[in-house]
Amino acid sequence: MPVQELLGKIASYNAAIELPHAGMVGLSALGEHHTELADRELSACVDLCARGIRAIDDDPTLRKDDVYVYLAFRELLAGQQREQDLRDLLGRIKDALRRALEGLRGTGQPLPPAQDLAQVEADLREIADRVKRMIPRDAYMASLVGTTFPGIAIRR
Amino acid sequence: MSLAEERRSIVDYVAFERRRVVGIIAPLADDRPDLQPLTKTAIRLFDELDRSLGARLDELIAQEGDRRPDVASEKIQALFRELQTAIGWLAATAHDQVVIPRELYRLLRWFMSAAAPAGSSTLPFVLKIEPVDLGTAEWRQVLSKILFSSRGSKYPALEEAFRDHGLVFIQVPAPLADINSSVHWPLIFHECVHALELTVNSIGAEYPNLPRDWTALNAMARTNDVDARNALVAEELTCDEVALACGGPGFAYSLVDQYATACGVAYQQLTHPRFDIRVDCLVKKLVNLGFNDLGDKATKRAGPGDGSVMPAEPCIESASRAATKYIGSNQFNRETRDQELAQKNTTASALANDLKVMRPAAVSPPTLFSVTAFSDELAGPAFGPLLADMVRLWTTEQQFKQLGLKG
Repeated sequence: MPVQELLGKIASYNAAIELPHAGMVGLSALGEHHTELADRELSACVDLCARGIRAIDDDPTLRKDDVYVYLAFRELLAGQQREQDLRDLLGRIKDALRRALEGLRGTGQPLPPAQDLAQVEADLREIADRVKRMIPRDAYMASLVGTTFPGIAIRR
Repeated sequence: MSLAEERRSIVDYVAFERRRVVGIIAPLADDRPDLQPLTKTAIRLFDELDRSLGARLDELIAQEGDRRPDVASEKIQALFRELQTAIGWLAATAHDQVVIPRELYRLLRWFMSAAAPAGSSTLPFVLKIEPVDLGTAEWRQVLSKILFSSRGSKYPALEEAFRDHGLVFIQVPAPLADINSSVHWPLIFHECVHALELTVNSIGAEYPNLPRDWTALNAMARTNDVDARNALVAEELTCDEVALACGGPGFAYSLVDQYATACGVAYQQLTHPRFDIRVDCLVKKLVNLGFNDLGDKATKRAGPGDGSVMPAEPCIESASRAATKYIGSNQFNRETRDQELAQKNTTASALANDLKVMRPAAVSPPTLFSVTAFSDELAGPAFGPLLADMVRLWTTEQQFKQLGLKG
């Protein structure tokens, strides 16, 4: 695979994996009442969910302005889940975390119940697993380095 | 393993790799000035890692370690993998130098200097072996993609350390780098123009609303963005035209010979022009340069098209405009070739006969490869070392002339 394509795929992986990471850290911070961190991480996750949905909807502006996020979420669709299923998954996460943010910011909305947040955590894990499965970043990185140097395979 | 232990083992690994990798790269550069940019890049990388890696890992652990050690561990392991890749990229390049002939560096240095527009700055370059593809990558772009995050760089200090320190990696398939393949080394002139484009940016002027980052353009082209595709295609055609005009007909021969065997039909790629269009542009340019005979041979070697009427690429004109930034008095044509040969009291056919009996001569690379172009007799591996020797002979002669040495 040409080097530019490899680099694009690595960037796409990095773009996509940020969504579940931000969500999981945000949920933990929420549980421990670390308001500032929870607000920041959950906001980032909500934003990435929205961008993911725009990617599934083939938004041309996202394609131009945020091509790696666009490609990442299009890759997640390939050959696996139907568009609507992934859209629903991201939508569920986004809505639940938005309600959590409103609760956190004291707008009068209550925080979602614990079982809803537990479901969001499970959904975030599913996204993370999907990203790792559909975008084999380590293989791309090993391909980037090439076969003359075995460094990538060295175990610590 | 605790996060603190993970942190320690990553820092220890980098320290170990510094001793090992710099130990490989630095002695190479002592002997070969071409490789000094590689050494400087490696040392800069390790210096910055020494300075800031510990603090960066501490930040990641502090942000998430207490409440989500699983996420923190994943993040620092991901960063570790990214640093391994960056270090591995440099180390693999160092290992590759064992099989890359010095004559190839001489040839490509000559071309960079011949093709670069007057007054332009150029980035240093090194060659890297690739299994299959020819390609070009710039170190800062490689680092920025490896460390990319949708929320900003994963390691801003490391990217910042290279803000004013670029290095181009020209990737060459192992069979092409081999000295026995030197008759096809002009093919790599195309990649040299990509390297020059990083600073000259002639295509940027034609497509001002697009990023100039190759990876981003490639990614956009994969989403069927027409403008991105046109920009990439135009850059490919510009590189072809400049490689031919400054490097001579040897480039056209190598492209047609090496690629015609791989793809005998014109098919649509996302990032490159159709092969038949490339050949068509090259043949026109060959005729324009006075090499009508070689144009005929190129057409014959490329083979017939599939007979369908194909629309012209919309970017051919912008590619030609972009190429004019490079091509001026440095254009190589039949007249300049024949003048050079006359000064050496020879002709193209006499030179070809000399080569057939393995008699070297000090002629410039475009002249040399214009004589070998489409001459199957001179394409065999037996001539490879001879042609490489002739490149070395001529470039050494030029260095003597520059130094004003006599004898």
